[in-house]
Amino acid sequence: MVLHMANKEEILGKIRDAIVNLDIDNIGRLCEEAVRAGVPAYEVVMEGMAKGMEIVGEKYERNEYFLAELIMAGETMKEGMKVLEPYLKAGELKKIGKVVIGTVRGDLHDIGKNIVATLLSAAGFDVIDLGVDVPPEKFVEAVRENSPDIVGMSALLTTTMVEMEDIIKELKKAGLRDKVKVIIGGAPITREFAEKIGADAAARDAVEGVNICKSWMAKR
Amino acid sequence: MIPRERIKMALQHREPDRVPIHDSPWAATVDRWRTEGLPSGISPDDYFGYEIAIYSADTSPRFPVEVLYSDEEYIVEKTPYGGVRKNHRDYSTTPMIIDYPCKNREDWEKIKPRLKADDYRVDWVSGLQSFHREYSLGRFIMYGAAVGYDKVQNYVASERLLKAVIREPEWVVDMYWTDAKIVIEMCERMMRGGFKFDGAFLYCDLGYRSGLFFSPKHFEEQLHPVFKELCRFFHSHNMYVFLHSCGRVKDLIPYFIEEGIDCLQPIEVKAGMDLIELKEKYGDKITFMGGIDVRLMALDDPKPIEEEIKRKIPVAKEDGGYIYHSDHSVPKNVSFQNYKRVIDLVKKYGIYC
Repeated sequence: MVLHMANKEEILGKIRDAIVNLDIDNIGRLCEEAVRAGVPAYEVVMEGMAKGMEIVGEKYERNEYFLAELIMAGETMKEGMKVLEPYLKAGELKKIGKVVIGTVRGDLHDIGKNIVATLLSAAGFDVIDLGVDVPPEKFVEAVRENSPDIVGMSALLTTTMVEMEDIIKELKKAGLRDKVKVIIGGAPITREFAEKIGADAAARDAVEGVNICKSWMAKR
Repeated sequence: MIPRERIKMALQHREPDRVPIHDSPWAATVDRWRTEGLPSGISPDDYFGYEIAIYSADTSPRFPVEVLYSDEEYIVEKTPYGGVRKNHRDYSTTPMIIDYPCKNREDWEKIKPRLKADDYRVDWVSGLQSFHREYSLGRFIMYGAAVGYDKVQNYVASERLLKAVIREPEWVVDMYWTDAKIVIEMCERMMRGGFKFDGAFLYCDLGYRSGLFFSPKHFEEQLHPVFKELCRFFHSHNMYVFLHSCGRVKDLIPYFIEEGIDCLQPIEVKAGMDLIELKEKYGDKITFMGGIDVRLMALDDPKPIEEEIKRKIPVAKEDGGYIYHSDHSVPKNVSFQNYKRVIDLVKKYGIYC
């Protein structure tokens, strides 16, 4: 099938719009139609949905979208992926990087961490989510096993954010600290705190966190 | 001056003798303080002279609470809302809800009939006994209730609920109103039963560190009318209305003022809620409670917290309209000595000449 550029652009534009407009009811159908029209599934993901997610992130930064829209956009993209996955050839969808992420020991809060994980996946990262209440040794083990590019830690509480320093110390002890970038986030986290404990960055929110991770990978 | 008069003056934007004081240390914090000098048998409320007493009714669907699992560190229990929560054994933080009773609207419709007001929802004996004591001490007596989005999160997982705010607004609004109805009816029952309330303390987190959970437009369409009605009811009973909302909720303050919210708490510093900025912008229309950075209370260096109190309280207290509180709650990394000093500093800088 010969697909004209103009048609292809129109199809991808509709998919981008569906993500931006949080159109979870139609994203699956649009993805299916795109593949049937001859648009490679890889391009539907990268030039359609991922581009749409970028626009969603920009809208969030401009205070036009809020947490509800971010979550909804992530879910919309997941729906699209369900349709596209069977069409993607093995290894075709190259991941832009690998992130090990978790909420630190003693902290049971997972909403923020989950949103970051969803947005990282949507941005093309391979995400290894360790869950909540993760002890330092589990972070170290996961880094050793998965060789990620980035370690992300989350904490909601002033009493648990101190765990982050221990994790960084343990990574150093294991000789793994220099192999990864460390980003931290959560309600009490500041840039000063990140600097103090030797993290590479502190993210104000999920969108900023993903942008920082993307910029690190772009420099590699 | 008794606390009740002091708080009322602050709420009326008049200057009492000093800034009223109230705070919320976690149970684990109080346990720590006991080992550091807080006398046994004396509550932090009495020791530090907190000025508010809050009484609540059970406005949940009252599913039986039972422990499903516990070990040295954690306890997993069924919630009265029909979910399952996990917490540290010392209850040193807000719990993690690991299962929710409502996956969809049908689940909610099954729970709804359980949300009827009745007298069994109040612990009358100990509640009234405590109320009479606190009332005689002159404390400002409040009816406390979680409402709106925050309350409904007990039924529906946060991510699911935020999606419903966008996709199933009628369901969300139905949950808000059903809850508001029982909150109002239980307050009426408590008043008929002998409680005298000076105010209502409504809990509804609407934001997090970087912003709002949902847009002001969604707030205006879905929750604003509910808050208006709650304020109308409480004001009709000569009660002031306090709203607790964590997070960066600046953009909703004009709505709160329009609804009739009298006081906003806790003015979370780490979420960019700046007491001085807010006082300047809205100080004549709403009272602020909180805004003192609890992270500075935990530091060994005493200077930052003194600077914080010295800088903020003299501005916030001007023409009344300010009640001291930490900017959320006091965690267990704040020592008894540090906290005692905080209260001394609040009294020092919170005095009106």
